[in-house]
Amino acid sequence: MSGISDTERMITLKTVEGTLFDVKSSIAKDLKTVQAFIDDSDDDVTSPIPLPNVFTRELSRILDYLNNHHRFRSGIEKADEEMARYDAEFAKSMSHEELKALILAANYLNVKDLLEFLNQTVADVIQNKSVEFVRNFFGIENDYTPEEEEKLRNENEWAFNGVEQD
Amino acid sequence: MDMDVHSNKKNNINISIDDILPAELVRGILMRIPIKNLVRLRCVSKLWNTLISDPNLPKSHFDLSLAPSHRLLLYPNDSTKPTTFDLDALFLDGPSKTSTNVSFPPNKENQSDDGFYVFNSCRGFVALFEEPHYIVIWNPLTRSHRVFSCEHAVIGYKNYGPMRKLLERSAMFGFGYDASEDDYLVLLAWKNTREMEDYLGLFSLRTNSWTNSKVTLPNDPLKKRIISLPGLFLNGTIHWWIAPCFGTGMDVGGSIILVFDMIERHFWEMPVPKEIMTNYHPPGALVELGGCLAICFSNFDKKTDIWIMKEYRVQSSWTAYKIPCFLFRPLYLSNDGDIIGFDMLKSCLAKYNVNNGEMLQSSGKFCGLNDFCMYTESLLALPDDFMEGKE
Repeated sequence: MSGISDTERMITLKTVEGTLFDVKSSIAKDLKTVQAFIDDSDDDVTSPIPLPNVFTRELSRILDYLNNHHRFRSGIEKADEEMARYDAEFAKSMSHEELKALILAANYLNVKDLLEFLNQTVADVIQNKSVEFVRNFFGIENDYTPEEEEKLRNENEWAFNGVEQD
Repeated sequence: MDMDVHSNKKNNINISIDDILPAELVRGILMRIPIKNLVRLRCVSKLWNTLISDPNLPKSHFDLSLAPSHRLLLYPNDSTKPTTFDLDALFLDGPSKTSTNVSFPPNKENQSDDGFYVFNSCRGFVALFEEPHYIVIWNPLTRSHRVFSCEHAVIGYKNYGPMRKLLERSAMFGFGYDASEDDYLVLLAWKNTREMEDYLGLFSLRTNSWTNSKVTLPNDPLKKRIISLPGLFLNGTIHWWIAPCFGTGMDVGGSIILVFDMIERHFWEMPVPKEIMTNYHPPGALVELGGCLAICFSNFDKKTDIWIMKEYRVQSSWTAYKIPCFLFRPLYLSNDGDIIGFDMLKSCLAKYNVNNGEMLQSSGKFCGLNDFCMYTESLLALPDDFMEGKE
């Protein structure tokens, strides 16, 4: 591949639905799962890399996040404020369902910074909410009997003050 | 809009994404939730209770400090109950808005009601002394506690009055964590007045027992010296500032920092800055500021001197600050690098800006500032190897 520098090389990714995404190799480096696949391949990877656990909606969001963050970081002046504003909008634009799906995808693709950001976002959402809200959010069924739950709540009574309304 | 869980399962397209996040992802989220909220979330489900109560979670939560919650425990030593304050909000919002009443743990064996003394804290546990001869290790958040007697150490001082006074003049107290054994140790060193020998008692929370031995402390600190009580636990070691009493003369060798290594279990000495080595000054305290060891004392110029050892065990790194406040007792370093502490005369919090030398006072007064200590909330449990059939 003479004449083409490493950072301009494009990698093609294929989602569950069969959609193809062309990604610069410098961005693909942040998708550690993909990068490991490339590193393990003996030859140059030319055919699309299949991602059987990632849907188009999630990959599109992840690439959007990475592209923007690369752009913010590559500027001569630090774009901290712009990045913070982008992050806030990014978090707000997703429903809880979409947030969870994105965490799963970011985890599978091993996108460390995004995963930490998403974990913090979810932590911020749930930390002051009621137990019922948290169950709903994660789709968890309550497997305590009413008596067990009553006992647990009484033991930790002081922790239930100051909880936000759902 | 959240889609109904059931219709999700019907729309094939999202079916392979488990609606329930796997445990390790949940753990990543839990690490970022402040401890107080974590306690409540134990009720979500049995799995969550296991995740949150798993001894490894509190340890990594505490060690990684992703959402540390600092509190101040205040016990004015009269009949009022102890109070804790949210330290992060205290300076801005004042004491009345950030306080919570607490109760010291009950002690069935103790008939006397002569009071408690608050010593120091380590990893979310506060060490208290309960008259006449009990030590209490207490986690104010989870309420778990251990009480044990130190009667053998203080028996020579019985009938001499409140133990605290005697402890201050004739004993050394320390509380810290031995990382190599995952154990908490209480250290008490005292002089047996009949034999005139020094003894070192180490109480292990893991075995719930004392190990006592005779000891030779360098420079005989238990004899007529003022010891900063309790010792400061920092970097795996306990530190005391030992200064000669006025009237004993300079030939006893000036002040020194005595250090006890929790892992090696031995004493060694660290010099104080040479500028303050032989000066007499009113007794002060050792404090941790921003992870560094600091000496503070009020001086005759009606100001408070603070010396911070910016690099541990590097003599040349001692840096001096003069706080324009007479009885200033530093508590901690704020995120912006300001020294925040008590103005003991005005009974309020004050902040010293190290760059421009300005003092700022916080609104709201405290009623009485006798015993206090800072602690970081944790869900850690005390080791209890000695107990069979844990609950």
